[in-house]
Amino acid sequence: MNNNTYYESIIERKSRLSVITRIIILGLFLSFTVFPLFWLFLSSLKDRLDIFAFPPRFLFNPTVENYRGLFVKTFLEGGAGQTDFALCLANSFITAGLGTFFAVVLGVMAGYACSRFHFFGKNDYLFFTLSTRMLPPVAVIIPIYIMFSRLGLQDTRVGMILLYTMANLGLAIWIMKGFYDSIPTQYEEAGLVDGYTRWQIFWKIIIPSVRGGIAATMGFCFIFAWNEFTFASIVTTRYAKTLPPRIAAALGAAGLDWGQVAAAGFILIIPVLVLFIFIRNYLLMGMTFGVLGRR
Amino acid sequence: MARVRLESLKKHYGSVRAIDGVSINIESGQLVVLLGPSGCGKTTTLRCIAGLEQPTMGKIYFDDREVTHLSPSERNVGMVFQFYALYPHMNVYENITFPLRACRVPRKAIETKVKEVVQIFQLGGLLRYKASILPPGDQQRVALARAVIRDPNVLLLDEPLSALDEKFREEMRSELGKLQKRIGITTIYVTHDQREAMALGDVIVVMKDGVIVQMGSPEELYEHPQSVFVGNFLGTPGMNFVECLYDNGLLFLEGTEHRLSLKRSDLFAKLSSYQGKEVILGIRPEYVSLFEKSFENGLSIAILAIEPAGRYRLVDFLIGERVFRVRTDWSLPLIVGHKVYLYFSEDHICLFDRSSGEAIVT
Repeated sequence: MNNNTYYESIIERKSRLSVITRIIILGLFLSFTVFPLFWLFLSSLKDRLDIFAFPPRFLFNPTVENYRGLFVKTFLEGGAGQTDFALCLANSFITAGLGTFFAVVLGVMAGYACSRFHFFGKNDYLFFTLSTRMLPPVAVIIPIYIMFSRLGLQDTRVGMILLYTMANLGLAIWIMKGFYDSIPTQYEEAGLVDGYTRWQIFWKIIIPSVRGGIAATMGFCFIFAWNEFTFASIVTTRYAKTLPPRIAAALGAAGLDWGQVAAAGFILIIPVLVLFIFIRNYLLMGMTFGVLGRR
Repeated sequence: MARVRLESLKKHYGSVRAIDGVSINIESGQLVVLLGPSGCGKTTTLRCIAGLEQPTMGKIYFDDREVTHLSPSERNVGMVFQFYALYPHMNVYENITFPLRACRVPRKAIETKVKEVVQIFQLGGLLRYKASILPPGDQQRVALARAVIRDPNVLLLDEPLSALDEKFREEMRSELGKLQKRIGITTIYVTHDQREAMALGDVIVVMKDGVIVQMGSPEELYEHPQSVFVGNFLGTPGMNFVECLYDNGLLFLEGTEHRLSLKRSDLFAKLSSYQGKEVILGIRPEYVSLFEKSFENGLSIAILAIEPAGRYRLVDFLIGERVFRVRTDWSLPLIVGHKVYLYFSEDHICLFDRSSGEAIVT
């Protein structure tokens, strides 16, 4: 009990001393991070006049016209009917979601193998998987394009899922390996002595211990695939088109409809934001590759 | 529980010989301590018995059944790891029942078993807590409970007290000893701490560089070390050593003017082949007495330092170039720099071969 009050008094003193500095720093930080999001959200609710108004307006009559316009064709675009926005949104969810799923499933197992077993060429293999992430997409886009068109994967969801699985696999293996490395082998040995097989130990002891790592890996992979622009804009054209190239295309087609761009941008951000809120603690662990502890 | 027999066990990693021919016979219910400095092969031996390492050569028997090539899960051993290795995501109950659930023990039998170990290890209030938040002492009891819940053939303990702080360690040590006797389980205990070994072991196996240097009861090892290494390793502080020249019943202490005349006739016979050669004299700090007045066979030496140690004092002298430590009570007034007379209890003198370090007389 004494200890607790001791630590509390330290914390209190510290906070009183630095509370003003903290507010200033946080304020600066938020103006760079949260304010643009806030502005994006406001703009998505404005009509054309309000968007271009100067000085910028914080009070205005909000409208959902921009959001409706994303999904429904306007008169100028050729009358009634749906736009391809909903399709692109679904494509984004499917390709990023399944791409993440496969990358994480494979990464969870491959990471364990790389952490615990010695096999021929392990270090080279690990470097190779990571190097897929070091290459700028532009460098591999042409070979990928050729491969995809020969294999008939051009503009298919299967192709995009494969692509995102591949692109994320290296990262998934490395993050997961970091988490496994931080688990002492004694746990597995204890499991062996307690009468379990390696496979049982993997599921009953190891996997529950790296739940945080799996969440972090999923977060990283999903965010990468969800935001990915270069591959999607080259490989997909219509049926498998994802949101990022779709939004970019909207910029050119009907002039600069900033309201719609803002609305689309905001929709793009929502899943990432929600995901982030759920797994933010694990993401931090993932970035430090497990060194902050696993609990 | 079972008898455990190791037959010339060897474990080589490439050219490194972690264990190089270890044979031990452990009676059922005994507590055997594998003692030695780090890298002596004691932990590797333990891991071979657990099945976590495959020995390069040699055999392991539980009773008369050979288990050398069985997997850990087929051996039914209980093991407590150095840092306990309690599964962090499970609570205490799940941890201690984990070995039972591996072999699909019916729920009723599990409950009975849990009640039993909870009572033995006093885990009553802890069952629902996450194992990872418990203090080390409780963690250790949980680890022990998990290790013995399956009635294993043998209980293996790998430095189980090293994660505890000094004071608590002594407490847990005696508790551990009592528990082992109460359960009556064959136990192999690995440690580098000779005090733990002396306090707990029915038999102590001293290891060095992958081989057994000496094996026996704590008393045997303490009073009759078979080598300079064992004499030095056991005891706090360890045995004193002085290089001497032996000549016709006389020991000339090297680097000094002093000499000791030996009276025990059994010494002469054993020393006959060392006539005119160098030997090492070994004697424990408590077998040297200090006197103010001259005495037959007493050595007059100046005090180098005095270190109080509770009921005793440790008094340092310099003999030749070696520090020589004497344990004495508080009755004699001692002053650093003053000379006193040292008298060696001849019954407790050990003599070692200078080149090999092996005992001649203990």
